[in-house]
Amino acid sequence: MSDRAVIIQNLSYKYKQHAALRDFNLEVPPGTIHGLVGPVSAGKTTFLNILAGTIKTAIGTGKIFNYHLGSKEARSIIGYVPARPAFYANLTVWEYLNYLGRLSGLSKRETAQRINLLLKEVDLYDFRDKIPLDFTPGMKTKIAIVQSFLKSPRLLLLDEPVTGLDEPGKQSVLQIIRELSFMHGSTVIISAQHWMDIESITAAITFIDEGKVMLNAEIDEIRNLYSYGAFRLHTSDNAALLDILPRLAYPEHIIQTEDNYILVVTKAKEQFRKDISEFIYSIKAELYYFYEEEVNLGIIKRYLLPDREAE
Amino acid sequence: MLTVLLHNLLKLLHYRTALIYLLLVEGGSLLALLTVKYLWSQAILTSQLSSNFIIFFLQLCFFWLLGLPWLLFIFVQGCGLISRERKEGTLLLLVSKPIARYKIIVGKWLALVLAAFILGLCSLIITLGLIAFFVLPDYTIIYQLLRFVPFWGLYILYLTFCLAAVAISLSVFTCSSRMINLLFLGLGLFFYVLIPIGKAYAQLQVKMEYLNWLDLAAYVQNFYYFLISIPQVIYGPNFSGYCNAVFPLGLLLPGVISIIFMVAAIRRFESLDIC
Repeated sequence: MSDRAVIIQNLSYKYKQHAALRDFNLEVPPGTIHGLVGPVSAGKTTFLNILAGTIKTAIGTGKIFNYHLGSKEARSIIGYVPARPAFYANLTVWEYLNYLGRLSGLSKRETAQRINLLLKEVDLYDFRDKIPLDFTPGMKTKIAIVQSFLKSPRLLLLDEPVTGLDEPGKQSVLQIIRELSFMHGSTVIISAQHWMDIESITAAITFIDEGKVMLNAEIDEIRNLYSYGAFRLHTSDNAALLDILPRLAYPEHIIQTEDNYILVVTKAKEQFRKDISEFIYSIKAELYYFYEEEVNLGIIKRYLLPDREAE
Repeated sequence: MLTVLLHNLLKLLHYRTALIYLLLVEGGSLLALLTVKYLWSQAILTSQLSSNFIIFFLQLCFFWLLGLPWLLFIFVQGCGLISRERKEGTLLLLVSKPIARYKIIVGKWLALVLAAFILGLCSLIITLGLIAFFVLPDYTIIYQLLRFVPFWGLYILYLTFCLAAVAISLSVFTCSSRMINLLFLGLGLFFYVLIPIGKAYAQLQVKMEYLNWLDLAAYVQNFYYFLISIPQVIYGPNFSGYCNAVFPLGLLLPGVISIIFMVAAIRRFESLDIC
Protein backbone atom coordinates (compact mmCIF):
# COMPACT_ATOMS: atom_id res chain seq x y z
CA MET A 1 0.00 0.00 0.00
CA SER A 2 1.33 3.37 -0.98
CA ASP A 3 0.47 6.75 0.49
CA ARG A 4 0.69 8.35 -2.97
CA ALA A 5 -2.30 9.32 -5.07
CA VAL A 6 -0.47 8.55 -8.28
CA ILE A 7 2.64 6.47 -8.83
CA ILE A 8 3.91 6.07 -12.38
CA GLN A 9 7.00 4.05 -13.21
CA ASN A 10 8.79 3.81 -16.55
CA LEU A 11 5.74 4.59 -18.60
CA SER A 12 6.32 4.55 -22.35
CA TYR A 13 3.94 4.92 -25.22
CA LYS A 14 4.45 5.09 -28.95
CA TYR A 15 2.01 6.75 -31.28
CA LYS A 16 2.75 5.13 -34.65
CA GLN A 17 6.54 5.68 -34.91
CA HIS A 18 6.64 8.68 -32.60
CA ALA A 19 7.54 8.08 -28.95
CA ALA A 20 4.92 10.11 -27.09
CA LEU A 21 6.19 9.08 -23.63
CA ARG A 22 9.62 7.73 -22.71
CA ASP A 23 10.32 6.14 -19.33
CA PHE A 24 8.02 8.59 -17.63
CA ASN A 25 8.04 8.60 -13.84
CA LEU A 26 5.85 10.60 -11.53
CA GLU A 27 4.58 10.58 -7.99
CA VAL A 28 1.79 12.82 -6.78
CA PRO A 29 0.89 13.08 -3.09
CA PRO A 30 -2.81 12.96 -2.22
CA GLY A 31 -4.79 16.14 -1.77
CA THR A 32 -2.45 18.31 -3.83
CA ILE A 33 -2.79 20.14 -7.13
CA HIS A 34 0.03 19.04 -9.39
CA GLY A 35 0.90 20.82 -12.62
CA LEU A 36 2.09 19.20 -15.83
CA VAL A 37 3.72 21.71 -18.11
CA GLY A 38 5.19 21.34 -21.56
CA PRO A 39 4.97 22.57 -25.13
CA VAL A 40 2.57 21.18 -27.74
CA SER A 41 3.24 17.44 -28.40
CA ALA A 42 5.29 17.13 -25.21
CA GLY A 43 3.18 14.14 -24.11
CA LYS A 44 0.86 15.80 -21.59
CA THR A 45 -2.41 14.67 -23.21
CA THR A 46 -1.05 11.17 -23.81
CA PHE A 47 -0.09 10.89 -20.15
CA LEU A 48 -3.49 12.10 -18.94
CA ASN A 49 -5.24 9.75 -21.38
CA ILE A 50 -3.28 6.83 -19.97
CA LEU A 51 -4.27 7.85 -16.42
CA ALA A 52 -7.90 8.20 -17.55
CA GLY A 53 -7.79 4.70 -19.04
CA THR A 54 -8.54 5.67 -22.61
CA ILE A 55 -5.09 4.53 -23.82
CA LYS A 56 -4.61 0.87 -23.06
CA THR A 57 -1.43 -0.20 -24.78
CA ALA A 58 1.14 1.85 -22.85
CA ILE A 59 4.16 0.04 -21.43
CA GLY A 60 5.13 0.49 -17.79
CA THR A 61 3.41 0.37 -14.46
CA GLY A 62 1.29 2.76 -12.54
CA LYS A 63 -1.25 2.98 -9.79
CA ILE A 64 -3.92 5.45 -8.84
CA PHE A 65 -4.76 5.17 -5.16
CA ASN A 66 -3.41 1.62 -5.37
CA TYR A 67 -5.65 0.66 -8.29
CA HIS A 68 -4.02 -0.37 -11.54
CA LEU A 69 -4.06 2.12 -14.39
CA GLY A 70 -7.07 1.70 -16.67
CA SER A 71 -8.90 -0.66 -14.31
CA LYS A 72 -12.61 -0.13 -13.68
CA GLU A 73 -11.84 0.71 -10.04
CA ALA A 74 -9.33 3.35 -11.09
CA ARG A 75 -11.74 4.86 -13.63
CA SER A 76 -14.49 5.00 -11.03
CA ILE A 77 -12.46 7.39 -8.85
CA ILE A 78 -11.25 9.62 -11.68
CA GLY A 79 -12.79 12.75 -13.08
CA TYR A 80 -11.48 13.73 -16.49
CA VAL A 81 -11.68 16.99 -18.41
CA PRO A 82 -10.30 16.56 -21.95
CA ALA A 83 -8.44 19.33 -23.75
CA ARG A 84 -11.33 20.12 -26.04
CA PRO A 85 -14.55 19.22 -24.25
CA ALA A 86 -16.92 17.66 -26.76
CA PHE A 87 -20.70 17.71 -26.48
CA TYR A 88 -23.59 15.96 -28.17
CA ALA A 89 -25.48 18.04 -30.69
CA ASN A 90 -28.84 16.81 -29.45
CA LEU A 91 -28.32 17.06 -25.69
CA THR A 92 -28.84 20.06 -23.45
CA VAL A 93 -26.42 20.79 -20.62
CA TRP A 94 -28.66 18.98 -18.16
CA GLU A 95 -29.18 15.93 -20.40
CA TYR A 96 -25.45 15.74 -21.13
CA LEU A 97 -24.55 15.86 -17.45
CA ASN A 98 -27.31 13.41 -16.61
CA TYR A 99 -26.00 10.92 -19.21
CA LEU A 100 -22.42 11.11 -17.94
CA GLY A 101 -23.54 11.03 -14.30
CA ARG A 102 -25.48 7.84 -14.91
CA LEU A 103 -22.50 6.33 -16.72
CA SER A 104 -20.38 7.17 -13.68
CA GLY A 105 -22.62 4.92 -11.63
CA LEU A 106 -24.77 7.51 -9.86
CA SER A 107 -28.48 6.92 -9.35
CA LYS A 108 -31.02 9.07 -11.18
CA ARG A 109 -31.82 11.06 -8.04
CA GLU A 110 -28.22 11.52 -6.99
CA THR A 111 -27.29 12.67 -10.47
CA ALA A 112 -30.05 15.26 -10.58
CA GLN A 113 -29.14 16.61 -7.14
CA ARG A 114 -25.46 16.88 -7.95
CA ILE A 115 -26.05 18.49 -11.35
CA ASN A 116 -28.21 21.20 -9.86
CA LEU A 117 -25.75 21.82 -7.05
CA LEU A 118 -22.67 21.97 -9.26
CA LEU A 119 -24.31 24.07 -11.98
CA LYS A 120 -25.20 26.61 -9.32
CA GLU A 121 -21.59 26.51 -8.06
CA VAL A 122 -20.27 27.49 -11.49
CA ASP A 123 -23.08 29.97 -12.22
CA LEU A 124 -24.43 28.01 -15.18
CA TYR A 125 -27.70 26.83 -13.69
CA ASP A 126 -29.70 29.16 -15.94
CA PHE A 127 -28.13 27.51 -18.99
CA ARG A 128 -29.14 23.97 -18.05
CA ASP A 129 -31.69 23.68 -20.86
CA LYS A 130 -29.41 25.02 -23.58
CA ILE A 131 -27.33 23.01 -26.05
CA PRO A 132 -23.69 23.66 -25.05
CA LEU A 133 -22.25 23.53 -28.58
CA ASP A 134 -22.51 27.29 -29.03
CA PHE A 135 -21.19 28.19 -25.58
CA THR A 136 -18.00 30.19 -25.12
CA PRO A 137 -14.81 28.15 -24.48
CA GLY A 138 -14.90 29.18 -20.83
CA MET A 139 -18.47 27.95 -20.39
CA LYS A 140 -17.67 24.68 -22.15
CA THR A 141 -14.72 24.15 -19.82
CA LYS A 142 -16.92 24.83 -16.80
CA ILE A 143 -19.51 22.28 -18.00
CA ALA A 144 -16.71 19.76 -18.51
CA ILE A 145 -15.43 20.48 -15.00
CA VAL A 146 -18.94 19.99 -13.61
CA GLN A 147 -19.22 16.57 -15.27
CA SER A 148 -15.85 15.58 -13.83
CA PHE A 149 -17.02 16.45 -10.30
CA LEU A 150 -20.37 14.64 -10.52
CA LYS A 151 -19.05 11.63 -8.62
CA SER A 152 -16.67 13.45 -6.25
CA PRO A 153 -13.46 12.18 -7.88
CA ARG A 154 -10.48 11.26 -5.77
CA LEU A 155 -8.27 12.15 -8.71
CA LEU A 156 -9.14 14.90 -11.15
CA LEU A 157 -7.36 15.12 -14.50
CA LEU A 158 -7.58 18.42 -16.34
CA ASP A 159 -6.05 18.68 -19.78
CA GLU A 160 -5.17 22.29 -20.53
CA PRO A 161 -8.39 23.73 -19.10
CA VAL A 162 -7.20 27.35 -19.39
CA THR A 163 -5.62 27.22 -22.84
CA GLY A 164 -7.37 29.61 -25.19
CA LEU A 165 -9.19 31.49 -22.43
CA ASP A 166 -8.81 35.21 -21.75
CA GLU A 167 -7.38 36.31 -18.39
CA PRO A 168 -10.71 36.69 -16.53
CA GLY A 169 -11.82 33.35 -17.98
CA LYS A 170 -8.60 31.69 -16.80
CA GLN A 171 -8.92 33.09 -13.29
CA SER A 172 -12.57 32.05 -13.08
CA VAL A 173 -11.83 28.47 -14.19
CA LEU A 174 -8.83 28.18 -11.85
CA GLN A 175 -10.89 29.42 -8.94
CA ILE A 176 -13.60 26.86 -9.66
CA ILE A 177 -10.99 24.09 -9.83
CA ARG A 178 -9.42 25.20 -6.55
CA GLU A 179 -12.74 25.51 -4.73
CA LEU A 180 -14.32 22.31 -6.01
CA SER A 181 -11.20 20.20 -5.50
CA PHE A 182 -10.92 21.54 -1.96
CA MET A 183 -14.60 20.83 -1.24
CA HIS A 184 -14.35 17.28 -2.61
CA GLY A 185 -10.88 16.56 -1.24
CA SER A 186 -9.64 15.67 -4.71
CA THR A 187 -6.07 15.31 -5.88
CA VAL A 188 -5.66 17.25 -9.11
CA ILE A 189 -3.32 16.90 -12.07
CA ILE A 190 -3.66 19.89 -14.34
CA SER A 191 -1.74 20.45 -17.56
CA ALA A 192 -0.80 23.68 -19.32
CA GLN A 193 1.62 24.94 -21.92
CA HIS A 194 2.96 27.72 -19.68
CA TRP A 195 3.67 27.25 -16.02
CA MET A 196 2.45 30.74 -15.15
CA ASP A 197 -1.06 29.82 -16.34
CA ILE A 198 -1.48 27.42 -13.42
CA GLU A 199 1.07 28.53 -10.82
CA SER A 200 -1.60 30.23 -8.70
CA ILE A 201 -3.19 26.90 -7.78
CA THR A 202 -0.43 24.28 -8.04
CA ALA A 203 1.76 22.96 -5.25
CA ALA A 204 4.32 21.43 -7.59
CA ILE A 205 4.95 21.26 -11.30
CA THR A 206 6.46 18.61 -13.55
CA PHE A 207 7.92 19.95 -16.77
CA ILE A 208 7.89 17.54 -19.65
CA ASP A 209 9.19 17.66 -23.17
CA GLU A 210 9.34 15.03 -25.91
CA GLY A 211 7.72 12.53 -23.58
CA LYS A 212 10.32 12.85 -20.82
CA VAL A 213 10.27 14.49 -17.41
CA MET A 214 12.60 17.49 -17.59
CA LEU A 215 12.12 18.94 -14.14
CA ASN A 216 10.00 18.21 -11.12
CA ALA A 217 9.88 20.92 -8.46
CA GLU A 218 7.81 22.66 -5.82
CA ILE A 219 6.11 25.82 -6.98
CA ASP A 220 8.24 28.11 -4.76
CA GLU A 221 11.41 26.71 -6.25
CA ILE A 222 10.04 27.20 -9.76
CA ARG A 223 9.06 30.80 -9.02
CA ASN A 224 12.56 31.36 -7.69
CA LEU A 225 14.20 29.82 -10.77
CA TYR A 226 12.08 31.84 -13.16
CA SER A 227 12.88 35.08 -11.32
CA TYR A 228 16.40 34.96 -12.79
CA GLY A 229 17.37 37.01 -15.80
CA ALA A 230 19.59 35.66 -18.56
CA PHE A 231 21.77 38.03 -20.60
CA ARG A 232 23.58 37.01 -23.72
CA LEU A 233 26.57 39.16 -24.70
CA HIS A 234 29.17 39.31 -27.38
CA THR A 235 31.97 41.88 -27.38
CA SER A 236 35.22 42.50 -29.22
CA ASP A 237 37.10 41.17 -26.15
CA ASN A 238 35.08 38.42 -24.49
CA ALA A 239 38.12 37.04 -22.65
CA ALA A 240 38.76 40.33 -20.82
CA LEU A 241 35.09 40.67 -19.96
CA LEU A 242 35.02 37.15 -18.56
CA ASP A 243 37.96 38.10 -16.34
CA ILE A 244 36.32 41.13 -14.79
CA LEU A 245 32.66 40.03 -14.61
CA PRO A 246 33.25 37.85 -11.51
CA ARG A 247 34.10 41.05 -9.66
CA LEU A 248 30.43 41.85 -9.64
CA ALA A 249 28.88 40.68 -6.39
CA TYR A 250 25.53 39.54 -7.71
CA PRO A 251 25.74 37.35 -10.87
CA GLU A 252 25.12 33.69 -10.05
CA HIS A 253 26.39 32.25 -13.29
CA ILE A 254 28.80 33.57 -15.90
CA ILE A 255 29.30 31.11 -18.70
CA GLN A 256 31.05 31.18 -22.03
CA THR A 257 28.81 29.35 -24.45
CA GLU A 258 29.93 27.06 -27.28
CA ASP A 259 29.11 29.71 -29.84
CA ASN A 260 31.49 32.16 -28.08
CA TYR A 261 28.86 34.23 -26.35
CA ILE A 262 28.85 35.17 -22.68
CA LEU A 263 25.77 34.16 -20.77
CA VAL A 264 25.11 35.89 -17.48
CA VAL A 265 22.36 34.52 -15.26
CA THR A 266 21.46 36.77 -12.37
CA LYS A 267 18.64 37.85 -10.16
CA ALA A 268 19.82 41.48 -10.09
CA LYS A 269 18.59 42.19 -13.60
CA GLU A 270 18.22 45.96 -13.25
CA GLN A 271 21.61 46.35 -11.63
CA PHE A 272 23.32 44.28 -14.30
CA ARG A 273 21.76 46.37 -17.08
CA LYS A 274 23.20 49.45 -15.42
CA ASP A 275 26.67 48.00 -14.66
CA ILE A 276 27.45 46.22 -17.89
CA SER A 277 28.12 49.33 -19.98
CA GLU A 278 30.72 50.54 -17.46
CA PHE A 279 32.46 47.19 -17.48
CA ILE A 280 32.66 47.09 -21.24
CA TYR A 281 33.90 50.66 -21.29
CA SER A 282 36.56 49.84 -18.68
CA ILE A 283 38.12 47.13 -20.88
CA LYS A 284 37.87 49.31 -23.99
CA ALA A 285 35.85 46.70 -25.82
CA GLU A 286 33.09 47.09 -28.33
CA LEU A 287 29.65 45.60 -27.63
CA TYR A 288 28.40 43.59 -30.63
CA TYR A 289 25.43 41.88 -29.12
CA PHE A 290 23.35 42.25 -25.96
CA TYR A 291 20.09 40.42 -25.44
CA GLU A 292 18.05 39.71 -22.37
CA GLU A 293 16.29 36.40 -22.81
CA GLU A 294 13.59 34.66 -20.86
CA VAL A 295 14.84 32.05 -18.46
CA ASN A 296 13.68 28.78 -19.93
CA LEU A 297 13.81 25.15 -19.01
CA GLY A 298 17.03 24.68 -20.98
CA ILE A 299 18.85 27.37 -18.99
CA ILE A 300 17.45 26.09 -15.71
CA LYS A 301 18.47 22.52 -16.38
CA ARG A 302 21.85 23.40 -17.80
CA TYR A 303 23.05 26.21 -15.58
CA LEU A 304 20.83 26.58 -12.53
CA LEU A 305 20.19 22.94 -11.66
CA PRO A 306 22.87 20.99 -13.49
CA ASP A 307 23.02 18.26 -10.87
CA ARG A 308 19.27 17.77 -10.45
CA GLU A 309 17.94 14.46 -11.72
CA ALA A 310 14.67 14.72 -13.61
CA GLU A 311 12.87 12.34 -11.31
CA MET B 1 -25.42 -0.57 -20.70
CA LEU B 2 -29.04 0.50 -20.41
CA THR B 3 -27.94 4.14 -20.17
CA VAL B 4 -25.89 3.81 -23.36
CA LEU B 5 -28.75 2.00 -25.08
CA LEU B 6 -31.36 4.60 -24.14
CA HIS B 7 -29.12 7.53 -24.99
CA ASN B 8 -28.33 6.14 -28.43
CA LEU B 9 -31.89 5.03 -29.09
CA LEU B 10 -33.16 8.55 -28.45
CA LYS B 11 -30.39 9.94 -30.62
CA LEU B 12 -31.21 7.56 -33.46
CA LEU B 13 -34.93 8.18 -33.21
CA HIS B 14 -34.44 11.92 -33.15
CA TYR B 15 -37.59 13.33 -34.72
CA ARG B 16 -35.76 14.80 -37.73
CA THR B 17 -34.01 11.54 -38.64
CA ALA B 18 -37.18 9.51 -38.14
CA LEU B 19 -39.28 11.97 -40.10
CA ILE B 20 -36.90 12.04 -43.07
CA TYR B 21 -36.76 8.26 -43.04
CA LEU B 22 -40.51 7.78 -42.87
CA LEU B 23 -41.12 10.45 -45.50
CA LEU B 24 -38.68 8.73 -47.85
CA VAL B 25 -40.17 5.29 -47.33
CA GLU B 26 -43.79 6.31 -47.31
CA GLY B 27 -43.27 8.67 -50.23
CA GLY B 28 -41.86 5.74 -52.19
CA SER B 29 -44.67 3.43 -51.13
CA LEU B 30 -47.30 5.99 -52.01
CA LEU B 31 -45.69 6.53 -55.38
CA ALA B 32 -45.75 2.77 -56.02
CA LEU B 33 -49.37 2.60 -54.95
CA LEU B 34 -50.40 5.51 -57.15
CA THR B 35 -48.52 3.99 -60.09
CA VAL B 36 -50.38 0.72 -59.70
CA LYS B 37 -53.66 2.59 -59.27
CA TYR B 38 -52.94 4.54 -62.44
CA LEU B 39 -52.10 1.39 -64.41
CA TRP B 40 -55.30 -0.15 -63.13
CA SER B 41 -57.37 2.85 -64.14
CA GLN B 42 -55.77 2.72 -67.58
CA ALA B 43 -57.25 -0.77 -67.91
CA ILE B 44 -53.83 -2.33 -68.16
CA LEU B 45 -54.55 -4.47 -65.14
CA THR B 46 -58.33 -4.51 -65.20
CA SER B 47 -58.51 -8.14 -66.09
CA GLN B 48 -56.55 -9.07 -63.01
CA LEU B 49 -57.96 -9.63 -59.56
CA SER B 50 -57.41 -7.21 -56.75
CA SER B 51 -55.06 -9.73 -55.07
CA ASN B 52 -52.71 -9.38 -58.02
CA PHE B 53 -52.81 -5.67 -57.50
CA ILE B 54 -51.71 -6.15 -53.92
CA ILE B 55 -48.92 -8.54 -54.85
CA PHE B 56 -47.72 -6.21 -57.57
CA PHE B 57 -47.76 -3.29 -55.17
CA LEU B 58 -45.99 -5.18 -52.43
CA GLN B 59 -43.28 -6.28 -54.82
CA LEU B 60 -42.84 -2.70 -55.92
CA CYS B 61 -42.60 -1.24 -52.47
CA PHE B 62 -40.90 -4.19 -50.75
CA PHE B 63 -37.47 -3.24 -52.01
CA TRP B 64 -38.18 0.35 -51.16
CA LEU B 65 -39.51 -0.40 -47.71
CA LEU B 66 -36.61 -2.64 -46.72
CA GLY B 67 -34.33 -1.42 -49.44
CA LEU B 68 -32.32 1.69 -49.94
CA PRO B 69 -33.66 4.04 -47.19
CA TRP B 70 -33.62 1.32 -44.58
CA LEU B 71 -30.15 0.08 -45.48
CA LEU B 72 -28.91 3.65 -45.61
CA PHE B 73 -30.41 4.36 -42.21
CA ILE B 74 -28.73 1.35 -40.63
CA PHE B 75 -25.36 1.93 -42.26
CA VAL B 76 -25.12 5.69 -42.00
CA GLN B 77 -26.34 5.74 -38.40
CA GLY B 78 -24.56 2.54 -37.38
CA CYS B 79 -21.22 3.56 -38.80
CA GLY B 80 -21.46 6.90 -37.03
CA LEU B 81 -22.21 5.44 -33.62
CA ILE B 82 -18.54 4.82 -32.88
CA SER B 83 -16.59 6.63 -35.59
CA ARG B 84 -18.52 9.90 -35.33
CA GLU B 85 -18.20 9.94 -31.56
CA ARG B 86 -14.51 9.24 -31.92
CA LYS B 87 -14.07 12.04 -34.42
CA GLU B 88 -16.09 14.54 -32.40
CA GLY B 89 -14.28 13.62 -29.18
CA THR B 90 -17.26 12.45 -27.12
CA LEU B 91 -16.00 8.86 -27.11
CA LEU B 92 -12.92 9.91 -25.14
CA LEU B 93 -15.03 10.86 -22.16
CA LEU B 94 -17.30 7.87 -22.60
CA VAL B 95 -14.46 5.33 -22.33
CA SER B 96 -12.98 7.13 -19.33
CA LYS B 97 -16.14 6.32 -17.36
CA PRO B 98 -16.28 3.16 -15.23
CA ILE B 99 -18.22 1.15 -17.79
CA ALA B 100 -16.85 -1.91 -19.60
CA ARG B 101 -16.09 -1.17 -23.21
CA TYR B 102 -18.04 -4.16 -24.51
CA LYS B 103 -21.12 -2.70 -22.85
CA ILE B 104 -20.68 0.49 -24.89
CA ILE B 105 -20.57 -1.50 -28.15
CA VAL B 106 -23.43 -3.82 -27.24
CA GLY B 107 -25.53 -0.92 -25.95
CA LYS B 108 -25.05 1.00 -29.18
CA TRP B 109 -25.71 -2.08 -31.28
CA LEU B 110 -28.95 -2.87 -29.45
CA ALA B 111 -30.01 0.76 -29.78
CA LEU B 112 -29.45 0.59 -33.53
CA VAL B 113 -31.33 -2.72 -33.78
CA LEU B 114 -34.26 -1.28 -31.84
CA ALA B 115 -34.32 2.01 -33.74
CA ALA B 116 -34.17 0.35 -37.17
CA PHE B 117 -36.73 -2.22 -36.08
CA ILE B 118 -39.12 0.44 -34.81
CA LEU B 119 -38.72 2.49 -37.99
CA GLY B 120 -39.04 -0.60 -40.22
CA LEU B 121 -42.16 -1.70 -38.37
CA CYS B 122 -43.66 1.81 -38.49
CA SER B 123 -43.11 2.08 -42.20
CA LEU B 124 -44.51 -1.43 -42.69
CA ILE B 125 -47.67 -0.58 -40.77
CA ILE B 126 -48.12 2.72 -42.59
CA THR B 127 -47.62 0.97 -45.94
CA LEU B 128 -50.14 -1.69 -45.05
CA GLY B 129 -52.49 1.06 -43.91
CA LEU B 130 -52.14 2.70 -47.29
CA ILE B 131 -52.99 -0.58 -49.02
CA ALA B 132 -55.96 -1.13 -46.74
CA PHE B 133 -57.19 2.35 -47.59
CA PHE B 134 -57.02 1.60 -51.31
CA VAL B 135 -58.63 -1.88 -51.19
CA LEU B 136 -61.44 -1.08 -48.77
CA PRO B 137 -63.85 -2.74 -48.18
CA ASP B 138 -62.12 -6.02 -49.10
CA TYR B 139 -61.70 -7.37 -45.57
CA THR B 140 -60.32 -10.72 -46.77
CA ILE B 141 -57.26 -8.98 -48.15
CA ILE B 142 -56.88 -6.76 -45.09
CA TYR B 143 -57.13 -9.81 -42.82
CA GLN B 144 -54.46 -11.60 -44.85
CA LEU B 145 -52.21 -8.58 -44.67
CA LEU B 146 -52.63 -8.31 -40.91
CA ARG B 147 -51.67 -11.98 -40.51
CA PHE B 148 -48.57 -11.18 -42.45
CA VAL B 149 -47.37 -8.37 -40.14
CA PRO B 150 -45.70 -10.45 -37.37
CA PHE B 151 -43.73 -12.51 -39.87
CA TRP B 152 -42.59 -9.53 -41.82
CA GLY B 153 -41.72 -7.96 -38.45
CA LEU B 154 -39.55 -10.96 -37.63
CA TYR B 155 -37.84 -10.63 -40.96
CA ILE B 156 -37.13 -6.95 -40.30
CA LEU B 157 -35.76 -7.80 -36.84
CA TYR B 158 -33.45 -10.48 -38.18
CA LEU B 159 -32.10 -8.27 -40.95
CA THR B 160 -31.64 -5.39 -38.53
CA PHE B 161 -29.76 -7.65 -36.12
CA CYS B 162 -27.34 -8.67 -38.85
CA LEU B 163 -26.86 -5.36 -40.65
CA ALA B 164 -26.45 -3.36 -37.44
CA ALA B 165 -23.68 -5.73 -36.33
CA VAL B 166 -21.83 -5.22 -39.63
CA ALA B 167 -22.29 -1.44 -39.50
CA ILE B 168 -21.05 -1.13 -35.90
CA SER B 169 -18.08 -3.39 -36.62
CA LEU B 170 -17.00 -1.30 -39.59
CA SER B 171 -17.33 1.73 -37.36
CA VAL B 172 -14.92 0.24 -34.84
CA PHE B 173 -12.33 -0.82 -37.38
CA THR B 174 -12.07 2.53 -39.11
CA CYS B 175 -12.96 6.02 -38.02
CA SER B 176 -12.99 7.35 -41.57
CA SER B 177 -16.58 7.68 -42.73
CA ARG B 178 -15.35 7.78 -46.33
CA MET B 179 -13.69 4.41 -45.84
CA ILE B 180 -16.89 2.98 -44.31
CA ASN B 181 -19.00 4.25 -47.19
CA LEU B 182 -16.56 2.75 -49.66
CA LEU B 183 -16.65 -0.57 -47.80
CA PHE B 184 -20.43 -0.46 -47.73
CA LEU B 185 -20.54 0.30 -51.45
CA GLY B 186 -18.02 -2.47 -52.11
CA LEU B 187 -20.03 -5.02 -50.12
CA GLY B 188 -23.24 -3.97 -51.85
CA LEU B 189 -21.66 -4.22 -55.27
CA PHE B 190 -20.13 -7.59 -54.46
CA PHE B 191 -23.27 -9.24 -53.15
CA TYR B 192 -25.93 -7.56 -55.22
CA VAL B 193 -24.16 -7.01 -58.56
CA LEU B 194 -21.04 -9.10 -58.92
CA ILE B 195 -22.38 -12.35 -57.47
CA PRO B 196 -25.76 -12.34 -59.34
CA ILE B 197 -24.04 -11.45 -62.63
CA GLY B 198 -21.29 -13.98 -61.97
CA LYS B 199 -23.90 -16.62 -61.19
CA ALA B 200 -25.88 -15.87 -64.31
CA TYR B 201 -22.76 -15.95 -66.47
CA ALA B 202 -21.42 -19.11 -64.89
CA GLN B 203 -24.71 -20.89 -65.29
CA LEU B 204 -24.66 -20.07 -68.99
CA GLN B 205 -21.22 -21.62 -69.39
CA VAL B 206 -21.06 -24.47 -66.97
CA LYS B 207 -22.83 -25.26 -63.71
CA MET B 208 -20.89 -23.67 -60.87
CA GLU B 209 -22.98 -24.53 -57.86
CA TYR B 210 -20.45 -23.24 -55.35
CA LEU B 211 -21.21 -19.68 -56.44
CA ASN B 212 -24.53 -20.07 -54.64
CA TRP B 213 -22.62 -20.23 -51.39
CA LEU B 214 -21.45 -16.69 -51.90
CA ASP B 215 -24.91 -15.36 -52.59
CA LEU B 216 -25.69 -13.52 -49.36
CA ALA B 217 -28.87 -12.10 -50.84
CA ALA B 218 -30.13 -15.62 -51.43
CA TYR B 219 -29.56 -16.53 -47.78
CA VAL B 220 -31.59 -13.56 -46.65
CA GLN B 221 -34.26 -14.37 -49.20
CA ASN B 222 -34.35 -17.93 -47.89
CA PHE B 223 -35.06 -16.64 -44.43
CA TYR B 224 -37.82 -14.47 -45.77
CA TYR B 225 -39.31 -17.38 -47.70
CA PHE B 226 -39.15 -19.56 -44.61
CA LEU B 227 -41.08 -16.97 -42.62
CA ILE B 228 -43.83 -16.28 -45.11
CA SER B 229 -44.36 -19.99 -45.71
CA ILE B 230 -45.39 -20.37 -42.05
CA PRO B 231 -48.69 -18.46 -42.19
CA GLN B 232 -49.39 -19.48 -45.79
CA VAL B 233 -49.71 -15.86 -46.75
CA ILE B 234 -50.37 -15.36 -50.40
CA TYR B 235 -49.54 -11.66 -50.50
CA GLY B 236 -45.99 -10.56 -50.67
CA PRO B 237 -42.99 -11.13 -52.86
CA ASN B 238 -42.13 -14.79 -53.17
CA PHE B 239 -38.47 -15.46 -53.63
CA SER B 240 -38.67 -19.21 -53.73
CA GLY B 241 -37.76 -19.19 -57.40
CA TYR B 242 -34.46 -17.47 -56.69
CA CYS B 243 -33.36 -19.48 -53.73
CA ASN B 244 -30.61 -21.81 -54.72
CA ALA B 245 -28.61 -21.75 -51.54
CA VAL B 246 -28.80 -24.46 -48.94
CA PHE B 247 -32.01 -23.84 -47.02
CA PRO B 248 -30.94 -24.23 -43.36
CA LEU B 249 -27.82 -22.16 -44.00
CA GLY B 250 -30.03 -19.46 -45.35
CA LEU B 251 -31.59 -19.17 -41.91
CA LEU B 252 -28.40 -19.17 -39.90
CA LEU B 253 -25.54 -17.85 -41.97
CA PRO B 254 -26.32 -14.09 -41.83
CA GLY B 255 -26.75 -14.38 -38.07
CA VAL B 256 -23.51 -16.31 -37.63
CA ILE B 257 -21.60 -13.81 -39.80
CA SER B 258 -23.02 -10.95 -37.74
CA ILE B 259 -21.98 -12.56 -34.47
CA ILE B 260 -18.45 -13.05 -35.83
CA PHE B 261 -18.38 -9.37 -36.83
CA MET B 262 -19.59 -8.31 -33.39
CA VAL B 263 -17.06 -10.45 -31.51
CA ALA B 264 -14.24 -9.08 -33.66
CA ALA B 265 -15.48 -5.52 -33.10
CA ILE B 266 -15.69 -5.98 -29.33
CA ARG B 267 -12.19 -7.47 -29.17
CA ARG B 268 -10.82 -4.63 -31.24
CA PHE B 269 -12.64 -1.97 -29.22
CA GLU B 270 -11.42 -3.45 -25.92
CA SER B 271 -7.80 -2.81 -26.90
CA LEU B 272 -8.30 0.40 -28.85
CA ASP B 273 -6.36 3.49 -27.78
CA ILE B 274 -8.72 6.44 -27.84
CA CYS B 275 -6.99 9.79 -27.72
